[in-house]
Amino acid sequence: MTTQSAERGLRQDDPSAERWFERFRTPLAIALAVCAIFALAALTSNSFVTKNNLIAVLRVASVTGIVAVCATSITLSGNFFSVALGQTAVLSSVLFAVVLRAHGGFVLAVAVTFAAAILIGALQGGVTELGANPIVVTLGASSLLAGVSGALTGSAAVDTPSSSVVNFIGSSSPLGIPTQTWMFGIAIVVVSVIARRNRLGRETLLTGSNRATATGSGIGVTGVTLAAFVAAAIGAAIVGIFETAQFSQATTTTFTTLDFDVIAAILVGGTAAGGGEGSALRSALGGLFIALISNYMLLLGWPQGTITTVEGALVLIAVVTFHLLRRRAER
Amino acid sequence: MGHRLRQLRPATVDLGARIFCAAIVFIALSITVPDFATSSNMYATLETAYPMGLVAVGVATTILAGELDLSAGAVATIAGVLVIRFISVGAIPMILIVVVGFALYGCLQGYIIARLQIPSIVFTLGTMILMGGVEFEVSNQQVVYLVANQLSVSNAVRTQILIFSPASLTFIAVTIAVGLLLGFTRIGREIYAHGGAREESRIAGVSQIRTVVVAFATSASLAALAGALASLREGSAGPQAYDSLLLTAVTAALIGGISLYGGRGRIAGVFVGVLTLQFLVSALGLLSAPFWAAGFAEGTLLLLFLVVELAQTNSPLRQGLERRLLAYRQNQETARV
Repeated sequence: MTTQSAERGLRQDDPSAERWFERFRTPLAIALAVCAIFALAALTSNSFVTKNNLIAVLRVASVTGIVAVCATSITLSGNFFSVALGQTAVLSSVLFAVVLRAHGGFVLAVAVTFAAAILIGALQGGVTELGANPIVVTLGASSLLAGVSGALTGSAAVDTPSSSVVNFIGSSSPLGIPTQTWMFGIAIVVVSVIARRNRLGRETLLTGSNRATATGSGIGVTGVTLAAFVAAAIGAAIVGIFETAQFSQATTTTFTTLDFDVIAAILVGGTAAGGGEGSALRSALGGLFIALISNYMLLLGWPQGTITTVEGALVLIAVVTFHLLRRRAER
Repeated sequence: MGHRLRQLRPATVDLGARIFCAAIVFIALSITVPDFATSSNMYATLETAYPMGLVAVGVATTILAGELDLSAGAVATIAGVLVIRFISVGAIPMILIVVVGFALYGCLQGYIIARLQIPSIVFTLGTMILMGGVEFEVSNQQVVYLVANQLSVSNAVRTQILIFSPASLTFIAVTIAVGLLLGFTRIGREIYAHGGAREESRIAGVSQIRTVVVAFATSASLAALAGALASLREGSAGPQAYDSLLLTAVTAALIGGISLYGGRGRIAGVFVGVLTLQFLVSALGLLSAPFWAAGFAEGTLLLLFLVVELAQTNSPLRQGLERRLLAYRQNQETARV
């Protein structure tokens, strides 16, 4: 065991091309798939490579991507997924709008939204850490959060007063790229740096790959789980704020497909569903892939139901393929 | 009395406590909520309980096997849409077709999960997304209605017999059948063994595939039956009509004492859980609570009973509490010495 990990350590420092290839093999494969679908769409559809359509795709991919990148930590830490992120985003969007409408100002609105998200994430992480099934915890949390949003809004849309900061965040495109996409890029960099260069990131991976060993080597697994759920909730809060800012109002009927889009992005990106292997970059690429393929099908005039069916099929194929590949690698 | 209680099996005591809880809820609501304890409200309560109850019994079977079928809600919706759309085949043949069809789907799903040893949460999350899309496909993206000359079927399904209807009687019969299957047959015990002590059961020669296949087939076919009966009753079905049944069903199973760790709990408990939950939801309806109250109550109850269950089973919470208790007792003893 010790020699093995020593070898691992050595290999990690070895900057050989083989090592580099091993590390980036899955992201490269997904990136190739992204390029392939892009080429296919560009060649067969006239309206795909237009400025408006590409910006629209980028915006959609960024919203899913921001949450997927942040929520990857839940999967990496061995807690499968959260199905409460859509409702966390809805509640964040509502809270942000409510504080803005009460003339609380932008800074206070952001602070309240993030504080609520951190609390929501920590509570779910806490209950999960007590030993509960994360999917069931987040299912319950999802309907509880929907109840809170409903109570806050009374199912009516909450309009926000217009303000230059909020408008800038919602719908401007510095250097021709939407603000959401800038945030997506920042999220990828921040989460990747934490994952690769920070103690918390390594502890998350170890907790996911072998919880017993992680506990035995003195890693605070409770802290890891809490951090993972909080990170995911913050991602959801960010897109909630963007949603309110973009449309100058908050409604409870948004983000209906966010949970499944995020799970699809993480799984298609090739992060191990059981934890311990994967990265935020993979989820980002997975999200981009799904956004491109959905947009392509939309341009072909396919109904939303068919697009969801294809998405589900992609998820199943990805789950089974990566599962089999991993099992073969273990043998 | 205490002596007698000690002779009873813990599972029986647990079930008794849950029946007692349901009775308390029933009595409290009868006193506080006007029109609650009327036969028409009890009929209405059972009518809303059976779709969720059927899904709960099915999902509970997968939980007992140590797995979880997240696709049950979507399956119920698809079955409902199919029955309404192809009602010209006849109501009973169509119900049989969807039940048998989805039993086969469940077999396939269970076989893949057991054979490839994929965590069922992950795999059924995939089928849940997939089936969520198929819902829109089979319904052509819209709500489908029962054709006018078949409305008698809808009336037949909801005919009131005392506080029952043919549909809710079907639910009760199916619950008893599944309870007997799990409690008194070989495959039922194997499902309990597979869920409670997987490695030990494998060594003892329990098939690792058959148990999971039977559990998922039960879950899918009961969900299909739930969707079929509920949509016939309503006379319509649309995309996402019954997807939310999954959450309610899991909540009911938890209230009924089904352990999420697998291998612990009884189908009779699920029945009690379904009734308890539906009493509360029905009372909220009678008090004309706002639309979000039911979801809020369900979510709160689910999390509450999750913690109750964690305090009972061999979970990290229980282990932590026991460690604290042990340390406390040792401290007391050292203090005494």
